[in-house]
Amino acid sequence: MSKHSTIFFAPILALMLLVGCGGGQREEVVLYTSLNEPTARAVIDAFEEETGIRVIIQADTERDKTVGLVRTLIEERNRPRADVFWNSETANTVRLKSEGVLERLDPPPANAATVPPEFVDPDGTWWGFAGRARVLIVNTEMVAEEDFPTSIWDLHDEKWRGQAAIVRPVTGTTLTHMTTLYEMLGEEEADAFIQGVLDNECPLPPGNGRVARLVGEGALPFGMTDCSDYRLVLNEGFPVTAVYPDQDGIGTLLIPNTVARIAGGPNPENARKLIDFLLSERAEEILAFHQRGHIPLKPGINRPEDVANPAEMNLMEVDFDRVGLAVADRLEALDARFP
Amino acid sequence: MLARHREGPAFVLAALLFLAVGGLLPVALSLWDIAGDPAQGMGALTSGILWGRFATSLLICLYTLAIMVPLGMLQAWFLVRTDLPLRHILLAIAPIPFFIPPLVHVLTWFRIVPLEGTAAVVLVYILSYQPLALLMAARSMEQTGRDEIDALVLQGGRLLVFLHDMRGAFPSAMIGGILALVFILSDFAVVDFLTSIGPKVTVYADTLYSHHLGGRGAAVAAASLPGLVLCMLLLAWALRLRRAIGQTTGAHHVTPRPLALGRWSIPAVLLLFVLILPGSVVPLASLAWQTGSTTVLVEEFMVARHRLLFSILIAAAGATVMVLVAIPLAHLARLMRRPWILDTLVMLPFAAPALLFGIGLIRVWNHPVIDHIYTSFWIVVIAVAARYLAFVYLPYSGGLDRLDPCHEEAAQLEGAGPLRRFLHVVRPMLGRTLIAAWCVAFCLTLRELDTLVMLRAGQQSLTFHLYSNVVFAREDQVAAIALILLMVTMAPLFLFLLVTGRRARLV
Repeated sequence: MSKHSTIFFAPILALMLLVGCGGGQREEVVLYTSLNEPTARAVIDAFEEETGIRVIIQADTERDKTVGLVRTLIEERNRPRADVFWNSETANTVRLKSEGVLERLDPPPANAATVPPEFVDPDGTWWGFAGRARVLIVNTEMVAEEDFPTSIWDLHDEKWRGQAAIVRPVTGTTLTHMTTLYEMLGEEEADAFIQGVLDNECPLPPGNGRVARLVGEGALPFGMTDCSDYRLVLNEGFPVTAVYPDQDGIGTLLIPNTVARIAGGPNPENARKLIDFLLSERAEEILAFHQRGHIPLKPGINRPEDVANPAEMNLMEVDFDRVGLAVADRLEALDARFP
Repeated sequence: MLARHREGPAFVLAALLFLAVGGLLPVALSLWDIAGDPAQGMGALTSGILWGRFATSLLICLYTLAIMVPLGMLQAWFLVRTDLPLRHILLAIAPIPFFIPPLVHVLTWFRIVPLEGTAAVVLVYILSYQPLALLMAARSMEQTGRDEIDALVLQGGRLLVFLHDMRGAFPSAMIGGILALVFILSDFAVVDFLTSIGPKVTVYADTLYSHHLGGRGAAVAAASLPGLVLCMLLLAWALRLRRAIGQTTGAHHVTPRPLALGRWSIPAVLLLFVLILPGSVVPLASLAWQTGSTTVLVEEFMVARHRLLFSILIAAAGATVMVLVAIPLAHLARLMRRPWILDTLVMLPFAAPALLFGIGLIRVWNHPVIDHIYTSFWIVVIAVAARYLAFVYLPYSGGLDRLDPCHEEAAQLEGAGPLRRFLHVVRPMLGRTLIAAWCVAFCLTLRELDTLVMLRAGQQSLTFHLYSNVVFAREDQVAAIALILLMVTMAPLFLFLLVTGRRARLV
């Protein structure tokens, strides 16, 4: 037996001594992103190829409810380890700005000038790019075209009782969406929307990806999700279509990705280069042609036919700063209201 | 003894330092948030929502334990006490479900049976954690000597042996149940997934994450307390009981002869197949079927090969550190009058919610002096080694308790120091226990996600890759990644069986 344990442990100890050695002097930049890594990687590979700067990515997973990174950034505030924060939505970027984790980039990167003003932080701390629309994904084999839902209020329709899904609104884009409704419609009307969701026994899957899949597989006729999740399911061959809701009313919510520099990060100049790249037309084009099909915010960028053009849509007019500051309190209230 | 040989105290001090800095300090620093905003903490702790969800989680735990503990004991009895055909193979594959992440159980079973609702949640937890009760009970039953079993057979036949074994193994099986409770209390993903349609069930861990997402540090810490206190109390009770059980075992143990099952052999083996295969073979078969072709498997292997290597290294290094730390701590516990105190401290990083532990790790290790560690491979090794130390410490200290002290005393009289006594007296007798514990630690580390997600280096792991892809990648790709993870997880278990050529004894 003693022979066994020696044979067993000796190589492991030797291997441990080897690990952790090495590492070159190559230029680098540390990116924290709330996107899942495979999506972010598509753009980052292009940046690395163009600049030769190595990007160290720390990403989030859906499983972790995308909370890990924001908390990590706040915890690291006194000794920042990241250079750039690329958020897949806006609320947590605003929150990190209010916590003093992010810094103003002065002068702004060159490509910042091309970002539409509604997606730019008035203080010049963050910029938006490549958005995702909140859509209603519909199973075309379960719902006839004349019955397609056209509004988020269709979640309340009695005929869809227990069958129209929405993510429990305590995380991600759904939380941002609900907070936006409160900011736009006021307490009473938004409360009525939430109550309608509860009264109509809407299923509450754990994420937008799950909503899209349940609809694609025919477990549910329709649900509210992100256009990127809809597109994944569509590309897998499921019989689904997306409805951009409330085109005749308050409009569809378009939530941009956002990017900002971390205050006191270790590689400020490389951070500027990465931010500039993310705001470039090339980055938006890559994300538009990615399987998740992010919507370019800048006009005139090449995109696949099924990726929407914001210029042709009725979009909700959102003050992202106000929404971002309201999210934490809204989360507490919504968590209490949902079972 | 310690004064004459310096290496003993040095190892013990190093192990204590590791436990303190790697495991206890992160938990303490996170809990300290309550002091920063006591009103917020009190508000969270007195919230009806928190206690309602805590009750829901406990109810799920109770249902799970009420089924998994008796089932585990029943299986253990057949596998340990009888001449059941194929029992060595069944005992070898019995632990597998525990090393499969519960969400992977869900994903594999979901393709076969449309699982939904709370009953499905309980079923998945039973599948996942039943091995803990089985292995703990099996180990307890193995401690009964041949003379005792022979006497029981003479008195009342197999039924009396069965009743005696059930009574004796119950506390150990309950320890397995309590370990399962710790895992279940910190999980929300399984419940969230399986209540996608129909009535939504929210659990205790949801509240922790909700406070976490809202940036309410004091609320996170305060809301962690009910779970942490309950787990620690139960574990302290169970560990005291365990030590008491260990001390009743004689030093000159003779393994009993297996009881003949006779005509019950075939029904019994079929029953065990039904109980063990769904959690072990079915997930593998389901993932292989979902993967569809070896081409997908090879493609995903090529994409994930660096992460695979990283995960293997992390798991191997983490398990080795756990062994190196657990040995001196277990020897220290043997010298203590109240060893359960040390037992309990070792359990604390495991009982604390993963996110609390992760936050604490950042606070402890994000400092200029130890800059290199924080961003390197080693922070991940420290994190997993501190979190799962108990899974090596407990079996080793249990084995140590059962060793006849006369061997060590004789060596000591000959002038052997602690290190030599360990190398030449203890290691030959407990080497197999250490290797088995190493395998358990390796497997647990491979499936770890919640702590690693907070650390940059941890994101290079294969588990992180799996969960990054679970929503976004094609189903065959996700299945292929999960299959690769499972094959790697099981490799050391089979290697262990190959090397030892005997029955696995993993807990």
